[in-house]
Amino acid sequence: MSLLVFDGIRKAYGDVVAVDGVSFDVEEGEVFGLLGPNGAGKTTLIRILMDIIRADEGAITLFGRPFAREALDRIGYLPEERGLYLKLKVVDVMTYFARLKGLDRAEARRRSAAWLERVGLPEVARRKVETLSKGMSQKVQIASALLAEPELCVLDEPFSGLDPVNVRMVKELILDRKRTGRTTILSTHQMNMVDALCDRVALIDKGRLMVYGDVDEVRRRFSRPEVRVSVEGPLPELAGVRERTREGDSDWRLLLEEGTEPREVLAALVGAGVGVDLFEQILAPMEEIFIHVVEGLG
Amino acid sequence: MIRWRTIKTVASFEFVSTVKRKGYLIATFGMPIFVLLYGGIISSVGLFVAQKEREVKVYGVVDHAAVLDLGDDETEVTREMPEELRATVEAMGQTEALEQQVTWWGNFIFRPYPDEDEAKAALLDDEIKGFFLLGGDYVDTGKLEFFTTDELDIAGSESRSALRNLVVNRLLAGRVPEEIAERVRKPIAELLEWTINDAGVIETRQVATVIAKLVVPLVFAILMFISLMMSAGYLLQGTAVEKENRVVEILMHSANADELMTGKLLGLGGAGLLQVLLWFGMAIFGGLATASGLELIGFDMPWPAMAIAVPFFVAGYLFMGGLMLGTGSLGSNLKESQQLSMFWTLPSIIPLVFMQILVTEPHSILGKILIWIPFTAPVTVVLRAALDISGIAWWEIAGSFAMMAAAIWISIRLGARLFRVGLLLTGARPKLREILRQARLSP
Repeated sequence: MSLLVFDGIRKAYGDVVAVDGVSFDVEEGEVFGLLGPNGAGKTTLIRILMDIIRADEGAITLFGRPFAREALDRIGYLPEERGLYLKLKVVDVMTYFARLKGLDRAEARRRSAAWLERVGLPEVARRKVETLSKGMSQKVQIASALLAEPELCVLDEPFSGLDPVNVRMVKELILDRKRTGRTTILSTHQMNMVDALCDRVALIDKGRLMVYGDVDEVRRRFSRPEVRVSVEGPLPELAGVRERTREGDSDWRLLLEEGTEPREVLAALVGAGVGVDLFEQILAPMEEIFIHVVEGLG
Repeated sequence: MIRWRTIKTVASFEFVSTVKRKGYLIATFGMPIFVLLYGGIISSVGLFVAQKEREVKVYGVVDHAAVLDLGDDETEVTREMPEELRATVEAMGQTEALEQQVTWWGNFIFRPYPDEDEAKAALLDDEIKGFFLLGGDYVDTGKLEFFTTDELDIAGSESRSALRNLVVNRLLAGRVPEEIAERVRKPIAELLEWTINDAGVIETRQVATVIAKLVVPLVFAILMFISLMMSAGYLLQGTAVEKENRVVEILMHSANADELMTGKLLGLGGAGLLQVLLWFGMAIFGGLATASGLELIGFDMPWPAMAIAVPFFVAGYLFMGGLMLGTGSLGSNLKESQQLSMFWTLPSIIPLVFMQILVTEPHSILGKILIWIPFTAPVTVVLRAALDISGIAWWEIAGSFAMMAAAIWISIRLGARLFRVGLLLTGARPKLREILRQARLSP
């Protein structure tokens, strides 16, 4: 079921069109990657969703209904341009953000403490924000975005400024949301995270939707018909293979001819009595697809 | 649609985080302490000066004209404390303290010397602070010479005044009847002053009353101006800091610009109002402490002006607050926002610039004009009412308030547009044309 639908969203600033008729939807419970180069229109689209700016054209359907501001209480948001009140205590800032989401004071404070515990910072609750390191501050911001346990959360570059340990922790938080059926929109330039976390993606460039769909399907679509095999003994001549490249003693990369399906090659190998230890389709990584699309090669 | 729950959350957050701020606490409780300290320092300096004044100062006199007929050291008084002021101070139980601090009589001793050489020698030996030389033709010419080693000679005028009294006394002695001599010495022994009000009622006019009637409204108006500027300044600062700290976008997805603006206006306005009430509370407490003195001189607290001050403070705050929020959001940091806010703060200080005219002529054409300008109306109306409530017509107060209401409507609408546009502006400060264009486009 679609949790969020963008339908023909357009936004221009004078002569500059930031978002040009973008339409896609986000399914309930998925991690959705919103991708694009700097200035592609991602932030504008997110700000339109957050009712910070208004679209010139188009409509948004949220939680099955036409957009209404009240629905934003059910959305968490970690903007790219983010910060905290430097002079205030961490727990007071988190409580304020939670109360803006409709939580009462007691519940907001309880959840703030619980989330600080969860991100490994229980000791900073009473500290002033200005005394936190960049990484700590980042984790407090992520916790603030998630502590109201929103049904939909938009995380814009949540991994920036984090060390590998904390990157893994944030990844776990996102996967945890997915396990509990909550939806996350992830906007990032870290394509390895898209590969690892996202179910579906939308890639925007110059305000237009360039790529949209299931991650595996997108990767397949942008991949060459190529497979990697590891076999026992020599690799026989196979029909439908245009080019073969040896990558190790028993490892081969096979470029298939147009129209040849990988399963046909596997069947041919098995039919020829070759012991197959590994057979996998080589899919283009999202990074490659990103560059391919943005540089106008697709 | 505006959600009151969100406004309440924003308002309570702004209120609590402001009143807990060091700067707020220092300003709120520090201002009266500062005033007391300032008064203390002034008093201490006065006390020091008075103590110095009480020291006996000896001046020599070489009297070739034989006018003074000094046989030995002669003491002379310079002037006396006015009777009504003495009565007021006594009523306040401060006579002793005042007498200790203020020297209304001089401790001057005039020591006769036969010639300039002896006087000069005494001066160089520090026996005297200086000496006067009355030449043989003094009676004809009135020519007097004064010699001293002290270039500054701060007590010089007082000593000349004392000598003058001495000369007058000695010239008159035995030459004119005593009552004439007394009139020459004190041409105005008693001055009775009266004021006749519009109803033709004659009342006593006392200098102390006049001073109190000027000072209290003046302090009142200045306090109101400071409170207004500080409260509006909190709005400017709060918004600019949120931009600087980059929390704006987080806030704006939870609350729309109108909710944020209203919440800030209420929360920070509450903090400002609390500050005003505390200050005025302290001022009233101070007033009550000196009530007996104020009552004696016939001074009435300007209660009607105080009553008018509350709605005009709120109106002034909302008007300035709307503008401050708008400009606060346009700068990329606090400094820039403060520079932009000068557009609004400069016209607001007009009543202070023309305070002397407003105090002496509260209902002059200037006072009548300033109540129709939203930047200057609150302070001017309250000042005029405090100085002389009978001189300001009810329709002037009502009209000024109605004008303020209209100005608030415009200010908040303009402020809200600038606020919406400004909050999302980043980087270099945009040009005015760009701001106006964005404001037109904003929802």
